[in-house]
Amino acid sequence: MTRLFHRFLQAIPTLFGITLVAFALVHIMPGSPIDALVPPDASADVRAQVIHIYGLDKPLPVQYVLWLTHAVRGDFGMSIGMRVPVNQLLAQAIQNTLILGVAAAFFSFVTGTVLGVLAGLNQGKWIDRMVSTLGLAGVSIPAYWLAMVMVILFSIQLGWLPSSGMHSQGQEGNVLDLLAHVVIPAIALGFTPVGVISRMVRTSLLQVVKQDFVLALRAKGLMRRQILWHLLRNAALPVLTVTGLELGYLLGGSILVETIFAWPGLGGLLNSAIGLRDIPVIQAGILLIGTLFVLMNIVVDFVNSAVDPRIQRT
Amino acid sequence: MKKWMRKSLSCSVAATVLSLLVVGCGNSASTPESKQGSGGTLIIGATFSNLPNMDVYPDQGYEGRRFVGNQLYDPLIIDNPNTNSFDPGLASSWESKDMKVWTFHLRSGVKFQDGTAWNASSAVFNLDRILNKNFQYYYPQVAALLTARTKEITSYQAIDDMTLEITLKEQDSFFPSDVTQILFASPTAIQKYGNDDYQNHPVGTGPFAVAKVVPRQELDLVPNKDYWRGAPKLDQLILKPMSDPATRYAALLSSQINWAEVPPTETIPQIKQKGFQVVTKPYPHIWAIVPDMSKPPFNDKRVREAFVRAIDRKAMSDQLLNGASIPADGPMYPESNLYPKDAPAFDYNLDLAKQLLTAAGYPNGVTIAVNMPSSGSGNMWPLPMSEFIQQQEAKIGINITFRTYDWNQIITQYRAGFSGPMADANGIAYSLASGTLLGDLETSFVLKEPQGSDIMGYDNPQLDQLVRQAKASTDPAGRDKLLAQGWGIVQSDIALLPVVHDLNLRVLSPKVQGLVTPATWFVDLTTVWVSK
Repeated sequence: MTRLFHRFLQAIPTLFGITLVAFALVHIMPGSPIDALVPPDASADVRAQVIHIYGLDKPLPVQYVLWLTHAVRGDFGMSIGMRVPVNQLLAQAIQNTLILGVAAAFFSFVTGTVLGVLAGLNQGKWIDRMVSTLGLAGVSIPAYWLAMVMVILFSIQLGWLPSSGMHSQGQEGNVLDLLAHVVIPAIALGFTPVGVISRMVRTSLLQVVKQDFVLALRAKGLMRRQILWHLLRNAALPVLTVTGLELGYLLGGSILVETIFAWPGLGGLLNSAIGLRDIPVIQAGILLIGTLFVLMNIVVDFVNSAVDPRIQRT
Repeated sequence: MKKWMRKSLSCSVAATVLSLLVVGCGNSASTPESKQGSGGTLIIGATFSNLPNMDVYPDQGYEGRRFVGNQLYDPLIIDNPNTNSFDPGLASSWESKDMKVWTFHLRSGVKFQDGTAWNASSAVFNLDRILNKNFQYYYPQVAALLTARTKEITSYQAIDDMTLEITLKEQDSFFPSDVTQILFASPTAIQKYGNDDYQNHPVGTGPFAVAKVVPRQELDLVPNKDYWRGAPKLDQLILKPMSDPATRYAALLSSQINWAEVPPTETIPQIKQKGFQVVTKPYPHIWAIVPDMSKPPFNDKRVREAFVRAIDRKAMSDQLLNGASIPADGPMYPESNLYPKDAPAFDYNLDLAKQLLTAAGYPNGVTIAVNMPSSGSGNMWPLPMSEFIQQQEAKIGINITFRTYDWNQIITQYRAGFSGPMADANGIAYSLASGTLLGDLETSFVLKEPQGSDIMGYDNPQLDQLVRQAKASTDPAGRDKLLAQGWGIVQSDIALLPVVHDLNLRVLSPKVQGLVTPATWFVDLTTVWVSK
């Protein structure tokens, strides 16, 4: 418990750093939200009035402190572009992103692990070479390209799956309908991690296989299946770390995929907010993604020490 | 005026792949003739990345106004999208003897969708909301967006229950086109929900009413059965934000939508082959390079002429953009009644262009820098278009460095002009809705910042005189004749380096019927229906 507590304490300066970066980034960025709101030929006093309404006339340090004191209380203010509370926007967006991210993570973790184990156990054989090729393709093929090809094949040509959106008309509560919509984007998004995870599983497995304890287990006369279990547990550590990081990527890095599939998630929200220079939304979005990353790392640490008790003692 | 091009994340690589793969798998069908009918659900894939807010000045630029503002609300005077002419709206007639005091006779028998009566007091309520700082429901956020349209207004009052009078600072015969931009909301709804929350419960007099909002995913509208111009034919109208062109194309082909705004141009041949309706028509728009005429080389008209003559604008329209544009000779598009028929056209002519450049003192060519936006629907397809221009200009020795910025940043640069952060640039690629409003000539070519957007350093006393005359003119035909002359002066001075006029490309399923191809950026959806 104390370790958990310490780990969270350590995260505080990181989170503080993220708030600074999130705040600074939007103010370094050229362009002003006022230009997106007020037409170029509007008079100077109207412009000043709107700037005042959004508090953009205050000095930057004051703006930061105001924002931070509200943010720690969970209040991110109103979206400048959409004039609704940022919390409401982020809550909807993160929910949709989680649906897509978890589906993609499930796909990439299961597929990546299975492929990696197959490759690792069949080192040098055709199946290994095939998985390696697939892994290379995974990390090299851009997600948006794969997305388009799958849309052409499965939506346009075969008509099996919808090409974009989260729901069909009037099917907002239908889980099966949602699943049909999530398949293509999840695969497109999860294909890169499949490549990363399968290669990591394979490498890790090959390293573990060379260790002495495997020989000892064989000498004890354990069955192949039982040995595999030991192998996997020992090979799991680096894989879990990578998976944690990939999960962070899936949650925060899906702007392209969300845009292509008109998926109303965090990436798409940030993309349109950046276009509008919607400062409150951008700041809160960056902070949210940053926080998710930090939390993900803490979770991975704990899962790691649960899998391998040696870590706890170091 | 220039905010209507929403930033979209374009994936031209993906779109190309898409179009290549789709080749040869088309089942061709002929476009059915539209006759009579009604009903059906129209699902529009729009280019905005989010649903526009639904107050009287929707965001997401002019596209928000096209699909939300004009569907929920009406102005006093309608700029009829079918004809591009002023039609009576919530005012059944209007008049002004001196172009300074304007009287609007309000349409009787009209009700807002919540049953509130439309009359002079509801009109004054709406004007108070954007003009009267002491009014309880004054709303600066919307007022700011409308200042450009309302800045000439000094006072307004209800003469009687159905008559509204608006007084301007000075004579302004352009005022009717400003009036087309001011929409009216139900006072009852604004009082009930308050200014901030009103946009979630919008109530207008328009052809459609909001039925359901799925945030960021879709907006469901139903027809206003009591619409004063006649109920729309559709059963349902659904708007979906789809910012990527390839997404809209795929959604159309997989029948998720039956109306796609601006698909990738390279897909046009396949779309036609597959039997979809490709809809294009000229409307007020120009894609141009805005030159800095205060410094070399564009301070010399010969260089500007050489630049324009070096671009094969026909090839750009027909081949690069697959017919989604027409070549431009000047800022005004040819179908407009303000088009200057006698103004000189600067046809594609490489030899002449080279001679002009040499005569201007650049026999060995010249190197220039041009800033451009990365995307945006009104901005058309800036990346391939700028590459095309770059290759063409290189032939006569004008070497262009195009520098890409996102749309919001280009707006900021444009505001600041060539003395600001763009000081090292010789031009800016920009699209203008030239001719949407009567005042566009004045705003773009006469008035300098901050009243207007003449950032070119362009000055022509003859033009200034003409515009003053037109503005004070009490005769609309005379006014338009003067304006056409003015547009002619701008064209022969080459105050903008014209490239192409956009044609408002959209693609419809063969089942979508009854559309009158719009002559403006906006569209009338009341005539449309979708067959089974």
